[in-house]
Amino acid sequence: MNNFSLAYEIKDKSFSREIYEEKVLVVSRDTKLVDSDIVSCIHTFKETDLIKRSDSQELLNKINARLLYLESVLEDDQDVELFSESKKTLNKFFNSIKHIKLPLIGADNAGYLVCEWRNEFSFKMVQIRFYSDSRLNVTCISDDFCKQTSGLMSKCISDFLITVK
Amino acid sequence: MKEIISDIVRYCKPSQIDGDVILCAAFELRKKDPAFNRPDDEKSLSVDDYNHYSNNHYSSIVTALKNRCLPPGRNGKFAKVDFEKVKQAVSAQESINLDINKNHDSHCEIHGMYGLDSKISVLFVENIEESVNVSDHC
Repeated sequence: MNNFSLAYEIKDKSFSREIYEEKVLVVSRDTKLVDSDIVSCIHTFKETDLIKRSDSQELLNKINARLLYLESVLEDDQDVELFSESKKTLNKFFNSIKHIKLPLIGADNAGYLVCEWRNEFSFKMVQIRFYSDSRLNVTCISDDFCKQTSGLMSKCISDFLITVK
Repeated sequence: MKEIISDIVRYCKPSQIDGDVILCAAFELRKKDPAFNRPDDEKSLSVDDYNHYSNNHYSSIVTALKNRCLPPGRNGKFAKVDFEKVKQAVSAQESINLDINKNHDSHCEIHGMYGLDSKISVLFVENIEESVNVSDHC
């Protein structure tokens, strides 16, 4: 097992087929991660104190306020429709997880919503980009490691957690 | 002899700032979007040379952006980045060399990020020397 794990916990403790079908891109020079590693990580996942427990409604209120602000400051070259579709996926994501630290939230140049956690989960940066139709992209970056996963977010995901072994 | 550009300034949109923190997304390349007349992915990062101007650096960059028909939003920020440090870090981590070319006036383009811009964007954020409000320089 290398120093990365991406873990999803599904409500019924079974694993969505979508997880297995995720496209995995490995950019790291030294580390190669394959699908089976991710599955192993899922099985070995345990919630750690790296995840700050917080009141989920408070989290959602803060996120909603932030989204309202972002919508009001989009620039002409950022697509309002993309933002709107992206927002649906982001809301679904944060409504399906129990506890996660409030990230930095913004929009990329196209208008897709982006969440960033800095120096959390033992990574310099963890970024989730939200697309339409419940699709997302997760990027985890440390000094010598970068991994991106893209795919569908299962509707039944109750916990989403990235941690380090 | 090629001019050495050590300090660069990137305009960061209001939606790419959370509190006072600039998101890495501000340093990522645009993906293609035919709806916005962008048939191809962006291959270079557009920045301005801080030292192109001897004084009033940021207000001069505001003017330069307006002249390029890219007026910066008043709620946005300018991030001044030590480009030499970014270049060294990218070279050490990725074994690739970033290149910067000056186009017109202070406008520069950074090449060599394509395909790695998510990772390199972190290095830009780590090497921000200062960030200032656009509204203070309009």
